[in-house]
Amino acid sequence: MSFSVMHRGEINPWKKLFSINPEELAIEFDFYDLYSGDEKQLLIKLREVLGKLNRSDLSGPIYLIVRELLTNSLKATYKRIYLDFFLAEMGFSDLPYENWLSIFKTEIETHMAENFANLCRQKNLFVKFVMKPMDNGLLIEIINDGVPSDVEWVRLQKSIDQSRKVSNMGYIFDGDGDGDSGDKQQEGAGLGVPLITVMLKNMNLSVNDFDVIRQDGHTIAKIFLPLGFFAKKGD
Amino acid sequence: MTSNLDINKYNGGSTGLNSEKVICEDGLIVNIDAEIKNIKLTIQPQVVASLLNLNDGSSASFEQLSNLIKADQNMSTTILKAANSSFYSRGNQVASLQHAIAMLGFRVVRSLAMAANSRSLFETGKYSRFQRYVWKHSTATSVICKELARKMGRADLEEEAFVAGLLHDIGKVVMNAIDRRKFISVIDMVVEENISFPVAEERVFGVSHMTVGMKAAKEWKLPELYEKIFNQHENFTGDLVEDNMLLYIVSYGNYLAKKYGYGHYSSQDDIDGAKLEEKLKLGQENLVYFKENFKSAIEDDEFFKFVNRLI
Repeated sequence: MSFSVMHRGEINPWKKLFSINPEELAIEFDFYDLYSGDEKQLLIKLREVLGKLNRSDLSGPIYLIVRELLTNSLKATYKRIYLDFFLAEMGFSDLPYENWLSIFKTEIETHMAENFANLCRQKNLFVKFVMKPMDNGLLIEIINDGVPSDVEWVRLQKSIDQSRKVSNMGYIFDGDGDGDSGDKQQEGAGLGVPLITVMLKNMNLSVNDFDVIRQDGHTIAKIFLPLGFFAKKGD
Repeated sequence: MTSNLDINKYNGGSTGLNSEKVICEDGLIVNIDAEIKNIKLTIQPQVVASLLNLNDGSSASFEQLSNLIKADQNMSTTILKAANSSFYSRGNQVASLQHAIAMLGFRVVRSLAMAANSRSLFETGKYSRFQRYVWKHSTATSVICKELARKMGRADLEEEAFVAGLLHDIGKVVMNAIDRRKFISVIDMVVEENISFPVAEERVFGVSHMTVGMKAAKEWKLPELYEKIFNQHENFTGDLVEDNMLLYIVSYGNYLAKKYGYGHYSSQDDIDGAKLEEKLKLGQENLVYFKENFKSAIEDDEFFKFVNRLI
């Protein structure tokens, strides 16, 4: 992934190509859940911005990718608050991973995200969505305040590497993928990453423009939409 | 962890708030608050087995689940604690198990109960004297308290009276979990020397089950009402005002349960019981009912029978 920040005084490509001030392309949202309306506002804003760049046709796929990443990030945040707050308060911190994961899943299945979102608001824990204009494209970041365990991190990286090498999602079902490990003691990396990479490929974007990094106690999923991506239509 | 405790070094009284630290004979300082925080209460295996057999959220299973939870003090505490946690609580304190179960949901309740059970492999309360003096006493008290509320025309308090009666001696359960050997010494002293539980507990642990129960309620964020009931049910003499109604019901239920032979009874209990009767103004008919005929009603109570089948 290669992008650079615009500096004051530089010739502004957004202004030059689309007659747009870069500030108009910036979007920022804090998510505590994905049902209280902010997710719809994000879709509206994405449509608006991509429309200005003559690619409103891609607002749907990009929103789907973003939503998948937000879901994963929120799930990680929910897991953390469940462990750090609820299970600690209950005196269950020493429960084996598979046991507390089972209660966590039951809670999600029973009450959806309601209780998690409520506690996230109380503790001011959220997942941040940021879209910012760079001098060679738009950078989308989904920032989660926490990092996965080493085991989960290795699984995620493996999933990203695998999905970059293939052109469809078939590998998930041939035993090499990680859609469902069949091991109830662990969570698979799921279909999210393969789905995202396949969608990026279908949008003629490079899979290298998607990555997940760990930085200063945060997990950041990044998607880079290069300037050329927007200049195509109407050229 | 604890050894014989020196009550002279004990910083505070049985109902004092500053009694967190007690010093053992071997010089170890035991922090009761920390012990409560780390306590691992156990759930009866029969209850767990029955829980596993409940596999859907039908109204019948919901009722069975409710009964199973009520059948176990530790499980009741776990569920109330969860409902009052910052995760589930919406500001209003949850004092009734029905409310707690409805709030948490069938599957979450079952998962939490199973998790609570999986945390401890040892059944610290699985001995006959504990079952008789603590477990059966608490169960009988819960049945009596519910009936007392009903007879007093307080249907609104029936469920809370039941739960408060069931949990009023939770301090004993906690102490038994902290050090079962010492709690056996407490029961031995109570039976052999014919002294009250608080006196024996002070001798052995340096703290009474009322103080421990109150601290546990505070730590577990149970409604404040329960802190008061756990702390004062043995010796309450305050005014009979609305705020104290449940405490009066539990105090009198506690006395009647002992009088009926569920728990340790001494002549001092009659003196305390007479004072409670005077304040409660139950009326002659009700007094006769409770003092002479209610024992058979307890034995016939479905919940009481259900629990005794589990023991």
